[in-house]
Amino acid sequence: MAIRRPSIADLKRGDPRAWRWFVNEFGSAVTGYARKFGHPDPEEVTGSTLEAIARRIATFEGGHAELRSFVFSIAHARIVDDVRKRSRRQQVDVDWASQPSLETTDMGIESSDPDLVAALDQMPDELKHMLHLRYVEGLSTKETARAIGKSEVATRVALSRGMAKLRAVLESSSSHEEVES
Amino acid sequence: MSRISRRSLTARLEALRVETPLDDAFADDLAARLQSLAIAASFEVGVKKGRLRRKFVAVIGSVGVIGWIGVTGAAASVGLAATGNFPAPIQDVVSNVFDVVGIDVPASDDDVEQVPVEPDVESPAIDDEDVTIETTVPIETTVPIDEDVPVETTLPDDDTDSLEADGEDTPTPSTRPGSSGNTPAVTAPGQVGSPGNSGNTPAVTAPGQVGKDDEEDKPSVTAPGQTKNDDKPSVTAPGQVGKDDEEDKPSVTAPGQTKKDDDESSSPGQSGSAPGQANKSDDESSNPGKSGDAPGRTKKNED
Repeated sequence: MAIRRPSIADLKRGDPRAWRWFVNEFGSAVTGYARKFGHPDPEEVTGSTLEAIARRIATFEGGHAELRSFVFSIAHARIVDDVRKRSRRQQVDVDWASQPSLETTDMGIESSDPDLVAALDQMPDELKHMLHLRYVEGLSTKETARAIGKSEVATRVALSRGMAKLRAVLESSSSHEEVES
Repeated sequence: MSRISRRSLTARLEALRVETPLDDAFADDLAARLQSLAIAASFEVGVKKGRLRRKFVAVIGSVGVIGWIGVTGAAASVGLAATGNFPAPIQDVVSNVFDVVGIDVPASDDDVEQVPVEPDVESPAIDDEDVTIETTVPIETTVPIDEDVPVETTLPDDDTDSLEADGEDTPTPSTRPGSSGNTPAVTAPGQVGSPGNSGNTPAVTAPGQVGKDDEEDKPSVTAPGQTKNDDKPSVTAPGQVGKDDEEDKPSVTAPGQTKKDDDESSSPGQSGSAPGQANKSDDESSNPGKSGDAPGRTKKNED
């Protein structure tokens, strides 16, 4: 059953219905976002991200667009931090090692478009996050810039170049397939 | 080589979105936890706001108090500097500093004009050599006398009279009632104390008597009469008549004294004239101040 979208004031007031809507609205999105970028515990990222939002909701100012950017910026920061910690420790975690890689998990196996996933893998991480937030999660360019922590102009330019590069990769791959066939 | 449009690429990217539905139990637990956190965060924000408000008020109050202290200190410093009450080195520094901005502040070596303080009340200058203070208590005695009984009043010689005028011993003439003298005037019933009596004696007036006096309204406090005529500020004993040529000189007149003065507005009790007495200051023969009639000196009345 769809829950009517509450206001930000309802969230600040601690309305249970509002927070239930919040979990449904952003929980699955953050979990998918974390899972797609290879985090070993996407639900932990989701829980910590939404808790951070709840702690700061009293001082939050803005509407639903700003709240969406706020949620994904926190999720992005947590994912990036965990990835950096993992690479810095040079430590092989059994669970992480047993986990399939990013490409094989979300974008390789479960995705119905392996060419696109492969093309995305060739992009830098920051551009990959931008493309995901802007086109997969459906954030606006401004919201994406806010979540990534870049300026709107830089984000717009990066997205344009990333789309061009992605299209070139896809076209080249398709031409190779045609030649092979 | 096939061309990929931007729109088709965007659609393919959107298709990558994977909905990962959360477990209901996990979602409910997470929602309850988030709700509690939000309420706690709102409460903390309210507390912080109140704390900030109190801090703001405290800061404003402190600034106000410090401001008042500063203003008061500055005013006191300016006052001390203006009156030259600072220590010499500080006064010099302050004087130099104020001199730069055109304010004249005395330096330590400048003499500050002292304004003499004048007393509000002029105190009479009393020359101890010329003034004799007589301390004789004026006596006013009114003896009821029965009309049928002849009155014979004998006043004893008063050895206590020690009024001296200019250091001379006063004779003790015997006087009759109504005459000039310093004896207490005893008037029989029906008698009238004649005016002109030297009223230096306490008046003893019987009922029915009429004490005739120029100043009947004045209190009849009469002491042994002495008349003093002196240009100097005089202190006249009770009953004395002080003649003072200088109006401006202050005089101290005891109760019952009469001061010869143009000022008629002598206060009650200073006239020195009792009923039956008269101010005899102009009479040359009486020699004011030296009347020689000792107060209370009375010889037995022949009547």
